[in-house]
Amino acid sequence: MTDQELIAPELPEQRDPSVSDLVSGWYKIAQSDQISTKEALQVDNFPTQIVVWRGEDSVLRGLDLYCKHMGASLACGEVEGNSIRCPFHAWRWAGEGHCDEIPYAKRIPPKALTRAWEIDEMDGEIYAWFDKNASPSDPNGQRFK
Amino acid sequence: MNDLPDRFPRGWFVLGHQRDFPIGETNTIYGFDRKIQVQRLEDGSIKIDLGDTDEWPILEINQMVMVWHDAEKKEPDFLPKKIEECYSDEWSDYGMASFLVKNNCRELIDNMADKGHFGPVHQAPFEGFWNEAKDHTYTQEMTADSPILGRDLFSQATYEGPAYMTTYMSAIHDGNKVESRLAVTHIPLTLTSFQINFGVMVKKVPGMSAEDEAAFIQGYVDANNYAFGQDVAIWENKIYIPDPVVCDGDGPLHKLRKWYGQFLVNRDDVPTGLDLAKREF
Repeated sequence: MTDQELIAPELPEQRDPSVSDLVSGWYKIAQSDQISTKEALQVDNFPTQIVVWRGEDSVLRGLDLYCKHMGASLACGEVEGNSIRCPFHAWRWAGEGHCDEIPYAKRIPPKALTRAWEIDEMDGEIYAWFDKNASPSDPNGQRFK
Repeated sequence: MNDLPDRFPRGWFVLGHQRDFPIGETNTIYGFDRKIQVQRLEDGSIKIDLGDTDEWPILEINQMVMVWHDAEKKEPDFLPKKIEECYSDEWSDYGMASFLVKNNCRELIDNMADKGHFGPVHQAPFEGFWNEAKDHTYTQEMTADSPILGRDLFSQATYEGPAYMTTYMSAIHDGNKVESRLAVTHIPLTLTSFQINFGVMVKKVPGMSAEDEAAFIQGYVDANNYAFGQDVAIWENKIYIPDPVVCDGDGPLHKLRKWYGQFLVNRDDVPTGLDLAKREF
């Protein structure tokens, strides 16, 4: 070991998107070919970190990156059907933002909810809708590359 | 940032195995945001230099050299129990290994109550799972029956304070009872990094050669290294959820975190009601 070890590593946190000064619109976050069917991608170039995955139906979905249960990165998880399963405790999250399966629980807690982000694909590019007041998306909204 | 604790916990922290501090030598140990010089004097005693006027109590027990860290700089209010196997010829010495984790050391503690992570993270199915908290100790018991881990597996793990955990394990391998003991200790380097130092000892099998015994211990060290590696992959890619929504199959995580919290506040501020009568989860 060296004295280098006494430099404290910075830990991640889920950034608060409400402090962003971005205007409402569709923000380009990736290229379509970066996410194959049943694969997930961690997206950092957005007001908060999100996980975006392509379900078996080829549709893209997005959620806050870190699992609301115990905080693991869902981008390290597995896409199952059209949902994504956390690698830590195997809670499975649907694209709408609710937990849809816990293998070891009799009942899913009603509070097991996370934030869903609207994702859209156009001309080989992937966009996520951002509005700091969480207003619903506008299909004709401005696109930012 | 991340609701990090405002201090390092109060308790006994392992600096290393006794044999790593031979007479006349000085070793540098990193911990608690400082460099600690550890010297074994000619009379066999250990002296530490913290780089300032601080003097921390030192203890040698169960083959380990420990220091007492306390932000209030008060005397220890508990001692780890003596483990007879650490002084018995019927048992091997500890084989040691260590590695560094980039997160606050509280992540390691969650494992005691975190019943739900054993399957997904360690592929380790188990049958029974119990927790108990009493004063400065927290105990987890587990039973399992696994073709990989062993038949009729029993494990009892106890934290004494925030950073010194010892485990007794027994399992049936190829029809023979195998008993082992683990020491899982850690020392925080900074508030966002810590080093795990763990030791494995086994009950000697009569007639086994020294060579086979060493290989046997190494097998256990490797298996534990592998298991910690699975945890670290999670720990280094997560945030801390201070008040998680838990489900009916989760262990007593909130209870465990409250128990651990006693080491992060002044002694006068430790709340009552932290004990947990032994029960199955």
